[in-house]
Amino acid sequence: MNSFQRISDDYWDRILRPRSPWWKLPVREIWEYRDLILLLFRRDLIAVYKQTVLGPIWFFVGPLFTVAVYTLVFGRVAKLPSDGLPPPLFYMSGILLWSFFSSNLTAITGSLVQNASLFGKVYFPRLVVPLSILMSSLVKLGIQALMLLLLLGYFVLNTDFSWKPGLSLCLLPFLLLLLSATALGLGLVFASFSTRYRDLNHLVGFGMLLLMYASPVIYPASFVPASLQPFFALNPIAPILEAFKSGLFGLPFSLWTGLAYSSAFALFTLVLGLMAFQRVEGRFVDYI
Amino acid sequence: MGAALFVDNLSKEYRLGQQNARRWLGNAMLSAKQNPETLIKALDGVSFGVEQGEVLGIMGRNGAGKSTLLKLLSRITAPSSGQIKQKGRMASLLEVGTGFHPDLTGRENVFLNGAILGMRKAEVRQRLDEIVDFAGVSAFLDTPVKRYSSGMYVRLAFAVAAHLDPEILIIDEVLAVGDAEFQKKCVDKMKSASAGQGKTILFVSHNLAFVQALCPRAILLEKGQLKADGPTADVIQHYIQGGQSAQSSLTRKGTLQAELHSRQMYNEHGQPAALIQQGQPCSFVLEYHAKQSLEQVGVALGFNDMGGQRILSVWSEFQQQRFSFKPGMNTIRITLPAMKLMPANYTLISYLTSNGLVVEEVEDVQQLLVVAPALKEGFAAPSLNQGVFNDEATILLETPNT
Repeated sequence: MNSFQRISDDYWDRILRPRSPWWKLPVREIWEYRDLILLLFRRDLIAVYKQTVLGPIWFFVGPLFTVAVYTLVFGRVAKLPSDGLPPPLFYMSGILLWSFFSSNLTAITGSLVQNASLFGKVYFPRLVVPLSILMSSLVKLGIQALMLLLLLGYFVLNTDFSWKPGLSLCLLPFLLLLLSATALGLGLVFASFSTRYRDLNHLVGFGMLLLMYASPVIYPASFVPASLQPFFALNPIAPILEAFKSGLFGLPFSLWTGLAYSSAFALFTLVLGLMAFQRVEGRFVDYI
Repeated sequence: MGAALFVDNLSKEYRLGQQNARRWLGNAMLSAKQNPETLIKALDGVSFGVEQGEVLGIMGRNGAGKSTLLKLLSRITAPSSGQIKQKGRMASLLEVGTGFHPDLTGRENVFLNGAILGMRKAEVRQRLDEIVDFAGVSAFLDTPVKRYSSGMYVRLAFAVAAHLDPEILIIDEVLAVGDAEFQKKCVDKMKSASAGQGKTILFVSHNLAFVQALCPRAILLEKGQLKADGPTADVIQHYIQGGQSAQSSLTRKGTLQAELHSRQMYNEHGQPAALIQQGQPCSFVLEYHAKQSLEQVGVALGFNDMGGQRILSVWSEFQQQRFSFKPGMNTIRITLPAMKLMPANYTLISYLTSNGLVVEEVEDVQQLLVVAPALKEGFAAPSLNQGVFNDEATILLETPNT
């Protein structure tokens, strides 16, 4: 035993200690498991439509129905304005990014609890699961973006709607980055706490519903009355959605400070999320 | 060969009880020190080292801390204190088939499972044929695994894990799966991994015969502490003796006019032992305390295998013998001229009858481990695959008279 004690720490490849420091992200290890990220992502995409007749078409069905219902309820019945755009286009563009954000956040929040049995049997960097979720959401977003383009083509060809995208459409990758970082950051914070307090899973599902009504998905930002603007400005998602719509349809965009706020918020939550996750990663299996 | 693993003063505590609002509020008001009874120590200051290429058996009863130790070793959860130092890649077969998705095909699952266990895609592709051969499911490779029989499923899962190429391999009870033929395949795989490729193996099993056959060295855990560390035969001895129920806690049935007071098993050298070599004589001494005199007393010992199946009965009735017990202590010695049971562990049950009535029946009187006889180099040792008994036989090659 003493002979083992005398071996210097440099000899060992790995030393497992009670806690790993919160700033030490296992980046190299995650990189070594990159194939697992890809395979989990593939599993998520494939398993969804195995043994279904329509297969991948189901990815389109959800958003299409949502757009149809929104057009009917919010456009026709409630007569909410749509920034002068054809309502289906307006709703579609909002739903696209919003559902990317909310489904991501919800899935990442639940990812630790849902995969508890897997985590209880084998080790791999736990961050692999949220990252694979992020990836499959991005691909789903890509697929659904195709649908937006088809819808756009339909309106351009069949109505007098003319499509003039703005220069700020180039910001799209950055906007997606912001949404991803916010979803990942917040998701990791919630996931970390939900290992102890399942209440969070319920809270997030409910919170997402509320947050959607506080975001310019079914109404344009310009529709928010001045008295509520200070509260509206607190929502870090709103400027991102607005920026996307204004870029896509060449509408004026004035929420630049809002976008700066969203960026700061994204960065902050991402760091916070990684820290919280790192803190529970080693031990959450014990009490999940 | 250098060191492969060093477990240094390792402890793990668990908190008992449910997480709810009351606990949450309680924690805010009371510190953990004020209600320490909710903490249990699953592992308590365990230290041991393993050299490269060594096969170490890890033994202990349920709740002794084996599973906790394995979880810590395979990084599933972090220790409360102490540390674990590892050299080389480590993989564990704690539960095979982890992450199998029923809707994915065998092939897809092999890749997914391989990746979960830490293999790169290219490595899996390289070994795919070997894995599929080992599992014997080549015809069903593109069938969703939910259509597999449970045997196929387990074999495929084990095959993936067995073809990992770690320097340190943790194996837990997986040999309990599959039929005898598949088990043999697994044991061979393990042997070649340690002997041929210098792999370090940590082997956990309740099957003492497997541990005895595979591991030169073993450690014993008891209530989270390291109780023994040394040659497997010694540790098994320790394990069996430590596991004997105290006299008072034996479950006794019957009229109880006489009660078992002590029991001891002796090996061929007349020494107290829990391990008996196959083919060697052994004896059992049972001391009964009789409250009154008993006539027409019959004594029996039943040998049950691990599945609870009665394999052998030794009964005075078969020997056309009956005894008379006087009040006070009566000693019975049962001698077997040669232990013929196959290497495995067995549970002994004792019976005492008088005038055809059961005076006392005691379950789990004693654990017994039969180990393989020392054979000349190169001969196959008897094992459970070949039956339950190994009887003496004379085998001759008869040359025709010329």
